Amino acid sequence: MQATISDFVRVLRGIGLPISVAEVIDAHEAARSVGLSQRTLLKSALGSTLAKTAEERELFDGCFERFFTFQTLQEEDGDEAARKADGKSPQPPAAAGTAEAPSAAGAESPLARRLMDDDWTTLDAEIAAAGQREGANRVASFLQRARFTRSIAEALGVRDMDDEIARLEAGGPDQRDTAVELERRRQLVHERIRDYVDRQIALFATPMEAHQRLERLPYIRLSHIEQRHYEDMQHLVRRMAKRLMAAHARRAKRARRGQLDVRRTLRSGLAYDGVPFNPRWRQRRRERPRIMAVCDVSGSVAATARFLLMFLYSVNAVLPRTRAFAFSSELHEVTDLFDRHPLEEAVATAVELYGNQPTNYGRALADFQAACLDAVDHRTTVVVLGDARSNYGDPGLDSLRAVYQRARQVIWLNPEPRVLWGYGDSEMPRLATACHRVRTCNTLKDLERLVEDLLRTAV
Amino acid sequence: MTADTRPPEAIEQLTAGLEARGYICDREIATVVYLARMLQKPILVEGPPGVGKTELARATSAHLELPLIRLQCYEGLDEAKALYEWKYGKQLLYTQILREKLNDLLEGTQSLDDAMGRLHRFGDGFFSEQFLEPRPLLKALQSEAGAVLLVDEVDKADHEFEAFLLEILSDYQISIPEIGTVAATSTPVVLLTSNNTREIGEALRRRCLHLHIGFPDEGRERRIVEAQVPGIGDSLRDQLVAFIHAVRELELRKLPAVSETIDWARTLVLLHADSLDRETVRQTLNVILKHQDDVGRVTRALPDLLSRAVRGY
Repeated sequence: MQATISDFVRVLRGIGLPISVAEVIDAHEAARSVGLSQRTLLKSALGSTLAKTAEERELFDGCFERFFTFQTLQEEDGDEAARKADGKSPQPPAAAGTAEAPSAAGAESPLARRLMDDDWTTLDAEIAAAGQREGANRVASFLQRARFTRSIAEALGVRDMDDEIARLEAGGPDQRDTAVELERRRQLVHERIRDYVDRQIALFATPMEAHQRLERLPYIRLSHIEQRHYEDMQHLVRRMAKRLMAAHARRAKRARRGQLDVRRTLRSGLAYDGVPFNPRWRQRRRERPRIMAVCDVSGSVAATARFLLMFLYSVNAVLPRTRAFAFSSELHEVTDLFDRHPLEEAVATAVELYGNQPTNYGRALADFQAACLDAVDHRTTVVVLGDARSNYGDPGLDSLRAVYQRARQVIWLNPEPRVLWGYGDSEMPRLATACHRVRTCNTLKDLERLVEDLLRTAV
Repeated sequence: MTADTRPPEAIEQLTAGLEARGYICDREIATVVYLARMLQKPILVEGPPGVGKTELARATSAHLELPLIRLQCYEGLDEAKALYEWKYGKQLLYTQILREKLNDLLEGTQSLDDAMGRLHRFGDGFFSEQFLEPRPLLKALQSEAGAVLLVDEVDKADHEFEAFLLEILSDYQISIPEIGTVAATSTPVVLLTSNNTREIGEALRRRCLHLHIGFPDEGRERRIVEAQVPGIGDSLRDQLVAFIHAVRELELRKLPAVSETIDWARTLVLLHADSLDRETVRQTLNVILKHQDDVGRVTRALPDLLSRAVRGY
């Protein structure tokens, strides 16, 4: 049982549950005190000790169902295992009939003897045991399927049997029949082994691979991420945003306590004859930055824009006054799209409505200057997202400079790697003179870092 | 529940025991409570408001015949309110009363050092247990026979308080600088509840058994209503529960929980309703829905919901 729980914990860790050693010990104790006789009890016991949030519990439940149907088969008493093995046996009923006909004449190796005896129960147990020895429960990818199938087959002694078949084929007609029969059953064994390996892969490798993909996603360039991963990405963005908000909400609270503000205390005491009756506390003024995000949503940058907007609106609780603009040539404010529609829909609509035009930075930045310069003040952070490729037109440097002079900071995010800046029609070096900071930004991690910076200056 | 019963039976007994106290629980809940006692670990109960998290503690304490000690958490809760406090007033009063005694005692001393030396001989009388005001956590530890300690809505408390809970939850002891370490005489059963307004820290989660109570299925909810509202007729009960379950499928700001179901059942019994009809439902919707938007939405869907609830029965 101990090994089973350890295996189970490894699967859970593989799909991302952070399980500590102390919790494993708890799980063992819990399993011991409820006993193994009832599956639901075991499930509750392991569930309450290993999964510590509702989300984790959901993952746990799925895993438990998959794991303990396969695994307990081998654990439970031979009776049941045999019955189930028979039920699932791929061997056709005809096999039983033909099994009588050729006598086991000449079948000598242990594997051959088992096969001729139709002893599938023992064989299954042997496959499982060989699998354990070969470390099939450490299988990490479906690519290892052939390897494990082969090594388990060898551990069972298939090679000896092959020699034997060759020998029998050279013998008399009786022996040749046995050889043909053995050859047929050899196929069945292979199928059995492949089934076993597939189960191990379904148990151990598949969930782990899915989880690993999720772990890698933040580091992949946003423009390379395929449409079908968008849902995972949204999930990730939400998770990151939640973490950031938790961290920063806490800091905001701490900033509320303060030292004694002597001047204000004395001043408020004047009314009471100078007795400092109301102590006043010095508070650090919390300045929530106002964020204006100006996003190029034309083809090449659209993916990054999509996730930047998604991120900014996910931390809405901490940065409530975000305004968003989208452009490829004309600039449009999309803030109320976000107010009216759910996040994913709003992002998709913005990209759809205003993308698909040739980029014109001069026009867009001039529009921004005209529409919003009055709203830009010393609390405003302007985030511009774009590749700064102006198609050899006006890059809009003057407009950006006007904004630069009024804003608290202008941050330019460029999805292109730094080495490409300044080549061809890229105007990044010139535009950079009107920015406080310029950074490359093409993965989810970069976005997370940006938002974290914004929040840090927020408190 | 005795130690030598086998776990499945012990859990059955526990389920029956809780049921006798009016708490209808499923196997999962009973198993976790059982484990909490066996492993001596606190339970962290999560779930939407109104599904009976607090009630579980009450029923457990009644079933185990242990006193229930409750600590309601809120922002700004600190050690003085959760753990212990010195009875400052009493200390002051005693020094006043004993002033003359002290004068007698100190008579004839020459210097300050001399007087202090004489006082030292009498120990720290004013910082002894007599002047200690135990707050819920200390009370739970000191309780001779054990207790059920309910730390309610732990997510409302500050992070600092959560960290402070860790010592108590893992070792069942606390240190009072003036007196020393107080260890539990018998381990209390500890339940923490959380509505998840804030993420509970990993460290706290790790020390607890986790129990998520969701909305019950129809069968269990019917039994809950039956246990809590004895006078209710069968047909009304079934329709009501079916209706609530239909409402929970809508997208509402706040879904009606079990406590709302019970309130509504009581209301309908008071109104002598014996089945759901459109007018009664419309007039009493505010018992189960707490937002005007939700009331509006349900009112619009009312014919459909009602027909489902009544036909379902």
